[in-house]
Amino acid sequence: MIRILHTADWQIGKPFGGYDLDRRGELRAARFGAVERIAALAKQRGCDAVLVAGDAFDDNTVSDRELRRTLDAMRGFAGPWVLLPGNHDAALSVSVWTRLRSMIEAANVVIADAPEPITLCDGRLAILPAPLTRRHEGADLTAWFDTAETPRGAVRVGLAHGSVANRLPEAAESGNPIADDRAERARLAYLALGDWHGFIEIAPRTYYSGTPEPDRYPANQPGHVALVEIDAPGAPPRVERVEVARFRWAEVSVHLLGDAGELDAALAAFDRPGETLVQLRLEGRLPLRERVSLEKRLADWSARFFDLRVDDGGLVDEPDGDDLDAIDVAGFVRVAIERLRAKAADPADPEREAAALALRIAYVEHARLGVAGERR
Amino acid sequence: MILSGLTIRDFAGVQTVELTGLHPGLNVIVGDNEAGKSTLLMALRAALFQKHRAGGEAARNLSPYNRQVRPEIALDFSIGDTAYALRKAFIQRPDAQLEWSGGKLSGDAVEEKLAELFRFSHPGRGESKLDANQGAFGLLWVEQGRSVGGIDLGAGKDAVTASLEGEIGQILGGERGRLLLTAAKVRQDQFFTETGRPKTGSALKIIEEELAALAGELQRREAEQRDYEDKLDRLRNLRHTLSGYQADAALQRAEDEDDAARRSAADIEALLRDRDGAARDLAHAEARRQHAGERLRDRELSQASRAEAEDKAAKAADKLATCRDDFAAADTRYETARQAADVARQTLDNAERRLASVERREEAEELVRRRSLAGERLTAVEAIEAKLAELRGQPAVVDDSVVAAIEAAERESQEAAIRRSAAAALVRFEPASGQAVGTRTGQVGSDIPVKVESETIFDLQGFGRIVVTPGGQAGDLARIAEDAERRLATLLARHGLASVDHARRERRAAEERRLAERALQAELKALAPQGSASLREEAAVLDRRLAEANAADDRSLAGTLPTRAEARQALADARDAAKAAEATLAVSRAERDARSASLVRAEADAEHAAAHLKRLAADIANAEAALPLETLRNELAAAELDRSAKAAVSEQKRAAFEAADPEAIRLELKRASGALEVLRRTLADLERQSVSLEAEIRTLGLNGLGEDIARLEGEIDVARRRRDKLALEADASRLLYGTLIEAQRDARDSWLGPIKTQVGPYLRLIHPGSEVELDEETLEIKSLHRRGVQERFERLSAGAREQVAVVTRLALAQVLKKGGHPAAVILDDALVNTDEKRLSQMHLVLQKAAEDLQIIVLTCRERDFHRLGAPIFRL
Repeated sequence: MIRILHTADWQIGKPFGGYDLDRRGELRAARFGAVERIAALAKQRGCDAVLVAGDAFDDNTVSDRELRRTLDAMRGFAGPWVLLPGNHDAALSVSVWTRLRSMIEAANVVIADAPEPITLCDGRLAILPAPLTRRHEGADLTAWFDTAETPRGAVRVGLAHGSVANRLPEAAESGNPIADDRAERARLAYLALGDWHGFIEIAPRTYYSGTPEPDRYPANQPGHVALVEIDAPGAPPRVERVEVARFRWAEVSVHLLGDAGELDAALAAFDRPGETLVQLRLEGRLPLRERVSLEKRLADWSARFFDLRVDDGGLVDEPDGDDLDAIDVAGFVRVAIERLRAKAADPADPEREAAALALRIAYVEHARLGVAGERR
Repeated sequence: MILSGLTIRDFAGVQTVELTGLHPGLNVIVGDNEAGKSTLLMALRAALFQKHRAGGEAARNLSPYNRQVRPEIALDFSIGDTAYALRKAFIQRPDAQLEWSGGKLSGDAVEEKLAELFRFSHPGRGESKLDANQGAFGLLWVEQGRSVGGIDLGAGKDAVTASLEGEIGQILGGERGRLLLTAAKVRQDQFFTETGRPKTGSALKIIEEELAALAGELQRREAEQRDYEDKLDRLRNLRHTLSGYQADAALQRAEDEDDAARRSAADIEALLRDRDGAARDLAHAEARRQHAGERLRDRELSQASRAEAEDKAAKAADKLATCRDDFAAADTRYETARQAADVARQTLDNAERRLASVERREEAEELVRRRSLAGERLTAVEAIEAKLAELRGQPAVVDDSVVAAIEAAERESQEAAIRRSAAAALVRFEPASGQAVGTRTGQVGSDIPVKVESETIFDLQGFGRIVVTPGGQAGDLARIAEDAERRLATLLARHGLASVDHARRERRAAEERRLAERALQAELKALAPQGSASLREEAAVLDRRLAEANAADDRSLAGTLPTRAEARQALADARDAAKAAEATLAVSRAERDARSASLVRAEADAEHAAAHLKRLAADIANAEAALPLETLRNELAAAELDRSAKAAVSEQKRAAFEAADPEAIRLELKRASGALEVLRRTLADLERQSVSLEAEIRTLGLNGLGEDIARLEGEIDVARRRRDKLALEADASRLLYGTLIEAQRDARDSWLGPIKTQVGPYLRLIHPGSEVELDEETLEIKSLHRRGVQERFERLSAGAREQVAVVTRLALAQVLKKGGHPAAVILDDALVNTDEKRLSQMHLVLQKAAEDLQIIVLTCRERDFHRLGAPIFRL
């Protein structure tokens, strides 16, 4: 029996520029942590090899420090590690692989940057790699698998990076095509793929392991590796999905109608907010007093989550009579508020958004002045 | 509000005033100065707005000076359909009563009811004065002299404004509105300047600058990445090209072609060498043939030359003989001319010498005369010089300075002697018994004073010695006198003089000698201005020239000398003759020289021709002996045969070379070696570029370029979101403030509008075509627009100001009344500056206003208002 650990898209060196320096540092470090957990898992499960199906590195120009930290993180498993160049780290004339090769001391790390079989486990396992030598390939680089000669009795496992034609639920990023019947045509026991960041069986004996540490919000089951056991050539693989992620990235949509309190119910569902990044989309309509209350709630939740991003484009302020009465019941202020309200309610008004915010400001200021007045 | 009656008692200096039956429209209350008109207005204010329990200054103002009284006011008025009777007493037993058809109140409740009815608030403790808290009545009741200053809201402005706001129904937002406006302004100011431009240092500006900086950085990094990717492409292309060359074995092929071309070139080289060798042999044979031909031709030419030389030698000998004859004849002619010239020269020489002798003798005679004169002057000069020498031989003993010094010393000595004598003590002895008195120098007579100038010892017979020492400075003066005398003696001795007179005599003698000497020198100067030595020199020169003239006298010329004119004529003749002879000599000399030259040339030619002939004959003889002419002819024939054979061989070799197509082979070699070199260079170049690019890419790759770009993109995204948020906030702040301001302005316009509408008809009556502008903040009259010209209120005449202020008040009162506010206008001498014409117009204004309002005019000028048609009340 052959037991392999299939992983991909480590994206080491991803900068996470959209986050502040502290969060950025933690997110980057988490990717090394994921590699360490993969190594520990491979060792624990007695894997014959770890296959990394491309994009181990986020870019061909990641620093040497990142490369060395990666190699350090891999130490927990003695190998062999088979690393395939993907579209982010394509095997260009000079690439991250040329540098990595000069750093590798032991033979346990195999850089699969040539389309030729790699025989492991004393000839029992033959890896057929389809390395990308540039970011985007128009041709199916796995075509050569069909006719590849491998030792007799060896389990044939394909290793590729790209998108399986007509199979992914949405377009994969690199556009490098892979035939959906490649496993069949090339007599592969298993085709280990990278590029899609979620875990998915995309075709018979064909799997994307996804990234082991999520790096974006889509809910496509990222954060896993595939543990694959193959009894013999031609035998169907047993594939186990194992979670290794530390951070959880979630997209949350909350519809608010008149009451900001519903937000709490939606966000309280996360058990580890300190290790969760939330992309929150808010929709609906709120009176100004609830909107002000919402801002306060968001500030509280923001402090609890590792990161909370709010898109309130779908949320409309809807000042009601109580709001307006709270601001003023008469006088020019009331006239001004009514005018702003009309503007905010007019979809054709170019100052609609500004008017809505102006109303909110007026409300908040008025509330503040009221409090200050009461203190006086 | 309608006032119907007012009674005051003991109020601010007025004992009693009672007004009843006031009309709901226009009323005129007439009173002289100090009759209490202003007090009436004051009482009205106190009744309505001042608490009956008021103390302090407010209370003091109500009572006569320094009197304890109980000011009382009774006021009857109606609001709407309700009639009220108000009674108030102040200071002593203060009291307030208010009765109306529906009820009755007393005490403090009265005050509260009044505040409610007239919509004002009582001042708090320590707050401003009464007039600041009368609501709109501060505006409508005008004391004497105030109308000219415009509306003059003063400290009561807020109350009036608030009152107006409340009454008109156009609520201005009050304190909260103002606070909100301020807060909105603060927010807007965070983003914008006063002129509405984005503010430097604002959060929005800062984030925009950050964004620009990030975008710039991203651009740079992307450019670097493009460069990096471009290098990658280039490296891939280079490697592709290199591998293409390798796959084609291009280098090997080029080297093989180069080798083959080189071999063909070597074969061609051998053929070329053969061709050139044969050509060289042919050239040698040709040279030999030419040499043999030249030797034969030389021999034949030599023989021809000998015959020619023989002819030339004979002709030269003939010419020589002719030349010799010609020279002999010319020489004879020359000798004859030479002798004639010698004779002429001798004659000329004699004539010149004779003229010179004549001139020298004349000169000698002149010299003798001049020498005689010089001798006479010299004798006289020498006599004067002898006298001078004698005078100078008597040396001067003293000069003026010596005499002056001696005389000074003499004066000094004399003065010292006088002072000593004056200081001396006089001693006179008068012995009683004729005793003798003596000194070292002798006896001293009795009764004869003895001058004692220094310590002197007197021996007194029978007495002993008396030593007299003069006092004072006698001793010093004696010494000074002695020193002066000694200095005088020393001076005289030094110059060998016996006395001072001697010195003076000597000085006189010396002076006389100087005068004599000066006279002689003048004489000498006249005789010999240049000095005697010059005179002697002149005599010596004349002597010498005379001697020379005598010595030069030509003794050879015997006989009597001719005159100078004769001598000169003879000389001229001799010169003409000599000149002619010299000319003849020159011609014959030239002819002889020419003949001589021709002779020399003929001799040389004859000699040369003979020598040449001799040499030629010898050469031909020698050549024939060495190599006869026939032999030379045979050698030439043999050389021509050899040349023909060599020419055939050369042509054969040339044909073989041409047949091998050497140009094609040369070009092929050039091409093959050029191609090889280019290929080697290209490959080396590609290799070098490849290595260099690889190094560059490795270096760039280490810098985390992609990471940086992704990071920057992320940061830009965050910054952009923040910028958008701040921009929206800025827009919202501006919109909020702008909308509030606009609404406030609209509100003001809406309540200022009715006032202007009310004012319009009144203004038309007094100032047709004009319009009043009120300040929307302060309600003050800002300006009057008349016939398109804006005039500031304070620039208007006093009359115009009070008229405008009154009509504005009337309009405000009507606006208030329409809003349900109690309003009655009281004008206390408010039109004192108005001219008659305008006053009658103002009467119309008041009439018109009184249709809606109660108006009470307080005046001291009854005649101004008696035509008003209103009831008149007199105080």
